[in-house]
Amino acid sequence: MAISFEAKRIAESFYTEWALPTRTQRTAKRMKSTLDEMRHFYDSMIPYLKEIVDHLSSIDLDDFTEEEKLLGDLCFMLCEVDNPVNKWKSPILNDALDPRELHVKQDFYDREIVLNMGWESFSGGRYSDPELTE
Amino acid sequence: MNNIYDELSTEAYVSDEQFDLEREAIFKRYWLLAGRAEHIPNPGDFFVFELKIANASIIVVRGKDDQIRAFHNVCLHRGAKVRFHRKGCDKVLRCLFHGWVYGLDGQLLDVPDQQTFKGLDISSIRLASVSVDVWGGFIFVNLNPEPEWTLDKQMEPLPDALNRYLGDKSWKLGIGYKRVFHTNWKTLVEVQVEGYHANSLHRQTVTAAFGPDDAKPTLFPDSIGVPGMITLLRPDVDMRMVKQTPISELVVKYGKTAMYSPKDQSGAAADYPGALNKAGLGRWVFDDYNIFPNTVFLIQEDQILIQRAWPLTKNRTLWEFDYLFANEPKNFGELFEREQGLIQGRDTITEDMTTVEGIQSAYESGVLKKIRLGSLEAVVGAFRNLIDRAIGEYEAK
Repeated sequence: MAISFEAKRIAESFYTEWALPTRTQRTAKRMKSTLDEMRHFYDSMIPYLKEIVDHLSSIDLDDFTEEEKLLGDLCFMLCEVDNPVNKWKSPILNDALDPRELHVKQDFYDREIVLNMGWESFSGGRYSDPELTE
Repeated sequence: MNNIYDELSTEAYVSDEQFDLEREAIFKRYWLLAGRAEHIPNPGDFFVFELKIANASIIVVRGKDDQIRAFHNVCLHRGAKVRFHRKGCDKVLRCLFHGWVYGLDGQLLDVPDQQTFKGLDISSIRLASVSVDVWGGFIFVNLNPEPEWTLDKQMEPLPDALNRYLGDKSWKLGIGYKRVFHTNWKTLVEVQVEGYHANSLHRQTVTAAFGPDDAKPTLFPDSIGVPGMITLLRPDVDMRMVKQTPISELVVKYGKTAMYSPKDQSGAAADYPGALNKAGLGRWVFDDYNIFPNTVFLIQEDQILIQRAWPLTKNRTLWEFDYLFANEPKNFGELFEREQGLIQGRDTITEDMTTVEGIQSAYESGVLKKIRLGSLEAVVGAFRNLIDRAIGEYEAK
């Protein structure tokens, strides 16, 4: 099962900007995008999403080609912008903690207190990045 | 429903005396969730559990006899930590400072240049024991060398079917978050044990109108370790639908982990009748238990969210939030559905977590002397009641 020519064409146009391999990168990208940029990406891809997911589901997860990995990352990026586009109408969720304040643990047993994990700051983690709050 | 408490003093969040009592009466007497037995499967596997409120560092290790034991991570020589790294595998426990060697059963085996010590009887020296037991496959430790009650007693009235459901399956970490919040540990538990806030606080993420029966509290007044639970249901009637998105509707075709996607959960954990979703409802989302003192389980089918709040000081708490899954995604569709669930969950958590530091400031300012609880917040009242009971029992001893 392959994806349609149209789906491939549309997806390819977004690889460079939006097919990011880690959740941290995808969150950062979402937070720095405009609503219009996210909407353009989301609305363009949504008609082909099921087809792409079904195609990728037919392949062993260990056997993805480079292009299939990019397609997968686009799908994950769509998850990241799903709420911003449909519910918040904004790249960031106002009245909520900046998600970057949640440190990702290295494993179930990682409880080590490291720098910038909240001991110092008293802002409640509200957005202090001027680029975001303007 | 009658509340145990409908008004509470805010003194308990700001008082040094209260913090000290909670340390002695609760954190040093209760079984605390430290890890999972299957994560230390082989003899020599260990992890280190730090309990800062008690200045305790505890090694939990599987012995040569396959038994799990726990010890204070304190060399009997001059008090160095026997293990620095939080997880590993060793044939013996060798203290890095001077090379004293302990067996996996805690027995001192060897002291370099032993002859330089006067009257050192190696055979009489052991690492100090910490009580350890397992429920649902989770390892709990108790700083009391002779715990006043068993772990099983503390976990009543959780169903035995749930004990087996959690214990039989293999649960792997999907993602875990941690942060130090400027708040008392209790505020972090309290925000997770009531659904009254869902309509307002989660208006931009869950985006639903929950009715009063959609987040029903159940109290267990006779329990010493589970004061109450919330059974969360997805609103699905008239104006009380969950607002879906094209993706939240799509993912239902691939999996069931995303909390509020429109799926039928009536068959959840069908192999373990009574473990989850007792009422067998299609729109069941999760069972949310306060595992006293500081832990909240949000249990779904094949997914469990575990929140733990570890007091550092009366207004600094180490918070952790772990997603454990019972299945590995078998294909991309399942991976995609899981990603949707994790992103939605993360977004919702950022709303929960935005409240706690402002609340603590308010308590510390003295502006608010009392908080009010409604019946939908009954588990908060029950949680606080159990704290008071534990302190009362401790002081009476």
